[in-house]
Amino acid sequence: MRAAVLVSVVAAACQSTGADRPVPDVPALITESTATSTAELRDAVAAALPGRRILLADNAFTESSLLVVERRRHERLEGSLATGVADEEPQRFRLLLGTDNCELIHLNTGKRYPLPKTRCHPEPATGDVP
Amino acid sequence: MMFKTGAISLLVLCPVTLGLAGCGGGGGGGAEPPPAPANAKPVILTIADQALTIGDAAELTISITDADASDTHTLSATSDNEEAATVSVDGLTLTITASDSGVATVSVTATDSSGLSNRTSDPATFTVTVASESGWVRGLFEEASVFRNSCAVPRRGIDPETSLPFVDRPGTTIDENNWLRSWSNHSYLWYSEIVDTDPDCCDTPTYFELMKTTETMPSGAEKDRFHFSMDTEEWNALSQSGVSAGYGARFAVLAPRPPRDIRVAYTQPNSPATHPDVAFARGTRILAIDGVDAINAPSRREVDILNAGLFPGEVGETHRFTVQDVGSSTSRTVTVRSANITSDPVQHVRVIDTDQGPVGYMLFLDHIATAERRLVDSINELADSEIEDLVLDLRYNGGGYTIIANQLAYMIAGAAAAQGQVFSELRFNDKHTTFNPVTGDVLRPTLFRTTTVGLSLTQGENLPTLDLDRVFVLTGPGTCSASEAIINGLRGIDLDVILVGETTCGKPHGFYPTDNCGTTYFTVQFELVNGDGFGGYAGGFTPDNAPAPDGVAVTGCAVADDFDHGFGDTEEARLSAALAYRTDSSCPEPPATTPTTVLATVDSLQGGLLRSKMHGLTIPQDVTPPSG
Repeated sequence: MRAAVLVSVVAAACQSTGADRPVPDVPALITESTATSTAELRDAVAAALPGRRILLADNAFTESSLLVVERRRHERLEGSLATGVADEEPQRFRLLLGTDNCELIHLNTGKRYPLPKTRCHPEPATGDVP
Repeated sequence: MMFKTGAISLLVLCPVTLGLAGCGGGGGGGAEPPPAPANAKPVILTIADQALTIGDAAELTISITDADASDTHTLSATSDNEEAATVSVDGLTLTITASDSGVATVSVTATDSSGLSNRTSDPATFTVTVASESGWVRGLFEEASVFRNSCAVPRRGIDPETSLPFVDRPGTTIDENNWLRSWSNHSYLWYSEIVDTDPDCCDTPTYFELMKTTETMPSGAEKDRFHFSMDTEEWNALSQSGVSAGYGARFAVLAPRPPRDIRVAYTQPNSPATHPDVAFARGTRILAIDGVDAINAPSRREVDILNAGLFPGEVGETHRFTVQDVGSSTSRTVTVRSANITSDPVQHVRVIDTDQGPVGYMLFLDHIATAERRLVDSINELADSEIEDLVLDLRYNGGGYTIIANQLAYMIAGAAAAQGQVFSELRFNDKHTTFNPVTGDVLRPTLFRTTTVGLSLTQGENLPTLDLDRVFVLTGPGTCSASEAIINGLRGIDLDVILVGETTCGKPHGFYPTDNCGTTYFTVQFELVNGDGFGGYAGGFTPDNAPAPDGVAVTGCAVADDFDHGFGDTEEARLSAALAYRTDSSCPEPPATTPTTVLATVDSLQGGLLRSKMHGLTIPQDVTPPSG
């Protein structure tokens, strides 16, 4: 069973563009998911997608450095989501390990969100991570 | 109300002698009689177009010119739309009566009294536009943009989609209905089959229901079964890919009315449903929920309890289920607590060794973003095993990203068959044959995708392939949309698709969800066709040994769902039939359920998968007491 958090409308968190970052990005996983790190992640995602209700599982970034957020599935719409309607770009986030801290990058926009309260470690190479 | 036009009077011009005057007066004896003077044709002066309201009448005095001053004239008039406007004449007065909304072209001619040839005027035509009190004119459509965002209850604040203030402005229900009317006329696939209705007729949800075709398929099923709306805020809600609230069990209702038969169709690993204390498995039968008899309880209150238990609305709900396991003659009662579930879209991937070589099996449940990675991993696994055939189980796959359907189809067929070929193409209504009416893009076919797209893998990596020249697809009424696009796309490149199961749901159509005033509308806007230009499977694909009347017959076997065996079990009826067909092209006896019933049940949930109670699609209440 995987608990989850519901991200509601949250004020924008700190963000930076990272344009001047010399440190190469290292895909990362959360070392230990705590209430604090979950809240921090929740706030960062909410800042990237303001005003949207977002459902995240607490295993986000514990098994993959990639987090894909898409339109919530509406059971009745299973069929309806196809043939065009679901072919909108999902929101994708990557957890990165910088010099000191974890940070979240919103791949759709390139914006970065520092996660100073989250501990993370490099993701083991799986061949599918850029 | 009677209108009388102002000062249109009969105007007779001085005669002009057009004929020769003969040979002077009298003429000599033996001379030919003088020719009859030529008759001048009367001319009706231009008549202005008329705009009337239903119930109005208007009188027009018609002006005529005639070179023959002595001529008198008789009018005649016709309307090409007498439902909208009728016409009558009295002398030179034309009376128009506006009967119903619509546009009529009125044609008026004048005939002079000469009795000679050339005595009838050319027709003078004008348009009568009859509007309702609300301004509605049947068959006339303004641009949808005129009415867009004019809302009976405008939203205030910031639009999360744009991060800008909502663009809603004060309007009326009629404005919202007018937007639906114009938008539907512009982009609905079957716009010409909508019965044009006064936007003042009813509230907006009711009006939206009218904005669809009323045509039916040969079986009597509705031609358009995918017409709905939902709250925009709900539609815009996001989730981590594959995450939703529930138990991690999907239920199937084999009989929705007493005596009901509700089973577990499939489960998600590491979910409350598969916790050892619960141990739901495919085929587990639901006997009671929270003390209510799930088989026979007849009342609405009891049905509500059943639905509440089957479809928990929140995380953390606890419900007690009494169930009977497959192969067991006894029941057990468990408590299940709902949670947020991360679903695995690809399950039970395995290789089956047969005398004719290894066969791959894969249960593909959902075209979500995470499926890209799971499918690539699975195809790699099957390719490594050098399978000679694939049984692709899509019986519960309701669709999702068509790009994933495209990728999977390519991975099955391989480069030699599919690279550079058309997987699909959007066909809009006949107003939009060059440009996509929503995006404005030039309409171009979509080719088979040979690389990853980055939904859950790095973008641009080559996809693995199986290079098969045929595929067995296990289907049912839950096989829908993108799943059907796989079947259709592969058939479009002449790959042999063998169907085993029941008729698919029949959704070659799609739409661009569109918000207006806080409601997001889904109206069918396009048909998805394959490389052969075929998309006419609104009645589903159906195995050809027991075809459904609306379905497109595809080589294969009709086989009922088998809840007594697990997925990938060679004893499971559909997989077993596929393996047998592979050996000798034989099919088992078709199930007793007729294809007609299968299709009808999809509409009314008389079977197939239960859906969310969010939209009221739950177990129907039986108004009659259970028999026995």
